[in-house]
Amino acid sequence: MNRELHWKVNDEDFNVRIEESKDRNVVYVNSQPTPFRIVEQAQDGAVIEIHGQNQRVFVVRDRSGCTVWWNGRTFRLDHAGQKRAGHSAATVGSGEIRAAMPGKILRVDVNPGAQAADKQVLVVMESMKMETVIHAPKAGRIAEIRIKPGQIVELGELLVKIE
Amino acid sequence: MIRKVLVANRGEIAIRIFHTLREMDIQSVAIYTEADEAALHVRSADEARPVSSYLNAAEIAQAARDSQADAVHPGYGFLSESTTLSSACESAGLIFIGPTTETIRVMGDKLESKRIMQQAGVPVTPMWTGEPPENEYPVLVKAVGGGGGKGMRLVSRPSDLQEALSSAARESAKAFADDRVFIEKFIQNPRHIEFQILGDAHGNAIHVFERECSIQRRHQKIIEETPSVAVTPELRKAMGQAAVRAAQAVGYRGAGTVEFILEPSGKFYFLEMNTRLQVEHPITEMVSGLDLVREQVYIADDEILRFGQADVRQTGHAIECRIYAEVPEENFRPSTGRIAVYEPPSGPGVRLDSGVTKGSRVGIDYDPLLAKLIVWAGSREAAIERMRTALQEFAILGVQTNIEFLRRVISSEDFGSGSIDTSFIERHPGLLNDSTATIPAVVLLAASLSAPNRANGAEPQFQSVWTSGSWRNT
Repeated sequence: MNRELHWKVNDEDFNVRIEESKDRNVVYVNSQPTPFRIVEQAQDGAVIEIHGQNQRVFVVRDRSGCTVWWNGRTFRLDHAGQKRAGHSAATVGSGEIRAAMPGKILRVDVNPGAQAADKQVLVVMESMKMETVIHAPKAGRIAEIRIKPGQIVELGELLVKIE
Repeated sequence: MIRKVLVANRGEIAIRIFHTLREMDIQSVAIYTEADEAALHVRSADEARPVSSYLNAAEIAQAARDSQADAVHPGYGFLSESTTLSSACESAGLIFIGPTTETIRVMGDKLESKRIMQQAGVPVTPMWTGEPPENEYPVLVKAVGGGGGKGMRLVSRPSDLQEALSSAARESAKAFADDRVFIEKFIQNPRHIEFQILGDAHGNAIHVFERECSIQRRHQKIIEETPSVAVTPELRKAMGQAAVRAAQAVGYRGAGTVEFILEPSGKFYFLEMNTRLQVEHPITEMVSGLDLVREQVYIADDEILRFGQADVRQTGHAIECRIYAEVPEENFRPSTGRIAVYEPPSGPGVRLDSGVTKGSRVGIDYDPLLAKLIVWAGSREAAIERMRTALQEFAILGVQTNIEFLRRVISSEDFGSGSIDTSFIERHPGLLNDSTATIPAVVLLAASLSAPNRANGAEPQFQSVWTSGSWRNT
């Protein structure tokens, strides 16, 4: 059984082709062949033999890709052509200020339409009893406020738009 | 005689205390909030009772009475250093496993405690209640009732003082139900050295050596070790004596910690006294062979300390790494989720105090500490090797953790040579990111084998892919 997949890891694209046959399994990473053998398998991981060495891996899948543990390191892989679900905090260019962590909004210090100074305190939020003060990434007009005090927000959720 | 103990805490510390109670043939009672209904600690005790909050002293005392417990162990954090729980226990006729309410009150007041220590001849750092002189900046804003970096702000300019004072006051009101803050001289690049103390109700007090807790992020410890490379036998003697003096100045009963900051010059200052079991207490247990929770129970039962200063020994070297659900690469933001893979390390000299297991949910409600990994070995070098290996073996998926970051710190040259202080993380920003981020073929292979097979038009069926034979052993 053969299969081909495209992954994005740290903005780098990888083409992975797996050729499984009765006596020989080969994985091609960007056309580079590596023979392998599955030694052991479980629901969330496996032991794979490559170049005569047993390698233990764990995999957890989600909608946009998967996370793989190998040899004490964790790798994030996204299906190529898909955007990873909300990440990164403030995107200065777009003026979209997003939650850098999941948590609860404690305070909103600005009103829609107001003029905000660079570095002005916009929002105070809390996660695991730690307070985070969110400052304006630039001076501008508050175009939109998507949250109110007491609201629980997810990582990457849009909080405030500034123009 | 203590026969049944309610543990007024959650997570790894509750589970760790249950272990000792079981050893001592004492019944245990867990408490849990709505968010923790399915938490591991609830299943680890003999019985469990719901409470509205881990901060509700009256409810906790009532739960202890209802379960016919005779004592309450507060753990660390939450109400461990609040007089509300110790006094609620007193009025309910329960033994509080800790110092007296008066000791907690006095030592919880970071200002008053320093005055007492000054009188007892223990050196303390300069501090202010109003605006400090401009030439004293940077200064630290600290919560009078605080600890663990909560309600603490570093202020480098007088113009930033007001925002820091109000934000620290808010945070500390929430964490400790006390919004008073004060200002203290910020000592540049100190080491954080603390001494474990034990005192009984009969006036005896000893120390059980130091712990070096200099590796911190956001003023919270992440790696601790003992002995400290900075503490010579002479310094150990001087600091140990100061710690015992501090304990005796307040008639300390139970297990406590005297925190000092140590300047590169060798000068040390009393920082505060923690009137509870410390998060990092296991490293002291590893080098001394003591079980500090067991001693806490004996002391609470009015027994005389079972040993004197000359009887305790410091053998080998122990290191603890705190495993947090957080992303060091993104300013240590907390990470939430469900733990899908949990493969703990093992081996000689490896101890894991964990509050979670496979399937555990990590939410936003509580501190993101998942577990503490502790190793012991004959020397510091061997302990570092052991820790590095244990971290490498430790697999957690489902939430992001600081495991890889800890391994980079432990493996770094400066950690190896012992040149550490409280600004270690800031001075080594390179450790925040993995510089060897090449992706091996096996990782891409594993990901691809577990992915839905688009070529067949099959729906994503991860589990069946793993279990139904696509992963054939050919």
